[in-house]
Amino acid sequence: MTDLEQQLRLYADWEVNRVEPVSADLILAGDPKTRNSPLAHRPLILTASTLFVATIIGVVLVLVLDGTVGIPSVRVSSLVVAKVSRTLPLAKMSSVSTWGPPVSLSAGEGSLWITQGGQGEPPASTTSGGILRLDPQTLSLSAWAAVAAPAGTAAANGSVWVVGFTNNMVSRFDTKTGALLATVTLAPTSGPSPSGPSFSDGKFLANNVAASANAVWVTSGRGYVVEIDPSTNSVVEEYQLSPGSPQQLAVSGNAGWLAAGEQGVALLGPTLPVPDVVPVVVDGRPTFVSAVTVYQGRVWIAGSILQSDGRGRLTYTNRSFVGVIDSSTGTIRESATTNLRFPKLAVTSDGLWVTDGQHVISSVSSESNRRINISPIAMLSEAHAASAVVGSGTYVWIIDGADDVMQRVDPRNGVVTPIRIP
Amino acid sequence: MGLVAIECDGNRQPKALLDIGPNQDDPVPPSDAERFTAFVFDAQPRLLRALVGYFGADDAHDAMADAFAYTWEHWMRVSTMDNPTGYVYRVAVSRGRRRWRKNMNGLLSVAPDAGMPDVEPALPSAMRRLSPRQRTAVFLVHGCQWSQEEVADLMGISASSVRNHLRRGMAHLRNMIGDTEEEKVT
Repeated sequence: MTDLEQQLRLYADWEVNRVEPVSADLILAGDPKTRNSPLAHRPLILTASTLFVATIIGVVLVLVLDGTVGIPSVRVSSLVVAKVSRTLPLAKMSSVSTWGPPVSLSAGEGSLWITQGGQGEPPASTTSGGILRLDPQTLSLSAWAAVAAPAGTAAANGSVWVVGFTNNMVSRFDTKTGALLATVTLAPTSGPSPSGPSFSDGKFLANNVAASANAVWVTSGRGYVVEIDPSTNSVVEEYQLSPGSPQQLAVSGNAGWLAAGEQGVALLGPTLPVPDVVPVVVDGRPTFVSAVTVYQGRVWIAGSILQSDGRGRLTYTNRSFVGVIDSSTGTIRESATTNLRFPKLAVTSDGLWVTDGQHVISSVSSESNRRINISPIAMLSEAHAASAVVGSGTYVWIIDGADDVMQRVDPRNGVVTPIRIP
Repeated sequence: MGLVAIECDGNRQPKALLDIGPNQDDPVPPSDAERFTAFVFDAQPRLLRALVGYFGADDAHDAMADAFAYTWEHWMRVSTMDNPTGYVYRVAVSRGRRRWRKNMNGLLSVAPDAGMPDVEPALPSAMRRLSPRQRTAVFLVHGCQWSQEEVADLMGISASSVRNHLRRGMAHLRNMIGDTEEEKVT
C-alpha cells in the first residue's frame, strides 16, 4: 500500500464519520426534514409546476411564431474525430495511442498543443508520453514529439515548451519541424538564488509553463517557480511559494503573473528579487485565484470566493469572481461576481470568456474599463472538471483530462463540438 | 398451514380441507414498512460511503435521505429489483446532482479542519477537484477497501470503467498533491 492510499483510508474514515445516518422511522413518518418537498405536497407541487412550465412554453411558442423573440442557437453538434495527419515528425503514428489521455493544452503559433500520457499513469508513466499538434482550422492532428511524463505546455516565438512532471526536464521543440532545440534541467543547484528550492527526493514535479519571446516561467506542484531565459536556455532564477499554490501562469514581455490559489496573485519579473505575492479580496472576502490571463493589455484574474465556516476553516461559497488587477502592484481594481466553480479564462479573437468547463461559458466585457459584465452564452454538456481551457482563433477549447474527447465551443453561437483525439 | 375447515359430504364424511385463515402461531410476513426499515439498515453503510465519495460529507446525508424517501415512495417497485441499493445510489446521484447544479453551494474544505487526520493538507481539496466518478472510485477502492467489482455493481457501470476512473483519478490526485509514488498495477 502506498503512502497516498494510507492517507486515503484515514481521510475516508474521517469523512464517513462526519455524516449523520438517516433514520428510516423519520422517512416512514414523512418527516419533512428527510426530504426537500414533503411527500404529501408532491402532487400539488407537480400540478402547479407543470401548469407553470406549460404556460411558459406556450408564451415562448407564441412569441417565437410571432417573430418577437429568437431562440439562441445553443446546441451540441455530432462527434468529430480529429484527422490524423500523414506528415508526421514522428515516424510511427502508432506510438500516439500508447500515450494515454490528454494532460494539458495550450494555444500558440497558430496551433493547439496537447500533451498526452505521463503524470503517474501506470505502468510506464514516467517514461512515455508526448505532444500532439492540432490544426484548429482543419482539425489535422500530428504527433509532434515524444516527451517523457509531459505536463504543461506553451508555445511562443517559434518554440513549443513542454515540462516533464517527474524527470525535472523542460524540453523545447521547433514549432515548424518538431526538432528538439534544447532541454533545460531543473535541479537543486540549477539556480543562483540562495533561497532556491531543495528537493528531498530529487523531483521538481513541474506542472505548468508559460512562454513569451523574452521569458519562460515554470511552476511545480511543490510551489516552486522557475524563470528560464529563452535566449540561453538556462535557469535565471528560482523561487518558492506554498506547495500546491500555483494554478495558472500568464506572461507578457518580461513580466509574468501567477494565479496562486489562496495566496492570491504572484507578480513575476526580472526586477523583483522574489515574487511579490498579493492576496486578492473581493467583497471583503478572501479568494482562491485559479486563473490569470492578459487581454487587451490588462491582466485579468478569476477565482472562487471563500468564507469562514465559523470553525476556523475556509470553505468555498457558491460565488466566484472575475477581475482586473494592476499589472505592476497586483491590486485588484475592479471585479464582478458569478457562480462558476473553479473558473478559468480564455481569450479568443472575439473576446474574453470565463467558464468552469462543465456547465456554462460566459462572455466577459468591460464598459469603459470601469464595469465588468458577465453574460452566460451557452450551456456545456456535462463533463468532468476541466483540466485546461484555452482560446484559439474564434473558439474556446476544453479538455478534462479524463477521456479522449475535447470540446470546441464557439462562444458566438454556443455550438459545442466534441472532438475525439484518436 | 393456518386455520382449516373440514368440508363434509352428505354422509358427514370429510371431503376436503378448506384454508380459512392464518394460524395465530404462524409467522406473520413482514410489512412493507418493516422490510423498508430493514433495507435502510442494510443498505445505509454502503450507500453512505458511496455518497460521501460522490458528494462529500457535507452533502451526503441530504442526498441519502432524499433517495431513501423516494425509495419508500416507490417501494413496491424498488423492493422487487435485483440490486435495489445500486438503484438508490443512482437515484441519490441523479437527484443530488440536479440540486447541486441549482444551488452550487457545496462546501469544500481548503484549510485543515481541527478534527482532520494527519493527511496531506491538500488532499481534501484535491479530492473535490476530481470528477465525481473518479472521486467515488478512488474513495471507495482506496479509502474504503471495496473491490472494483463492488464499486461497479453499486455505480451500475462495468469493472473496466471503474478501473479507468480509478487509474485516472489517482493520477490526477498524485499530480495535484505532488505525490510521485506509482500505483501498483493489479
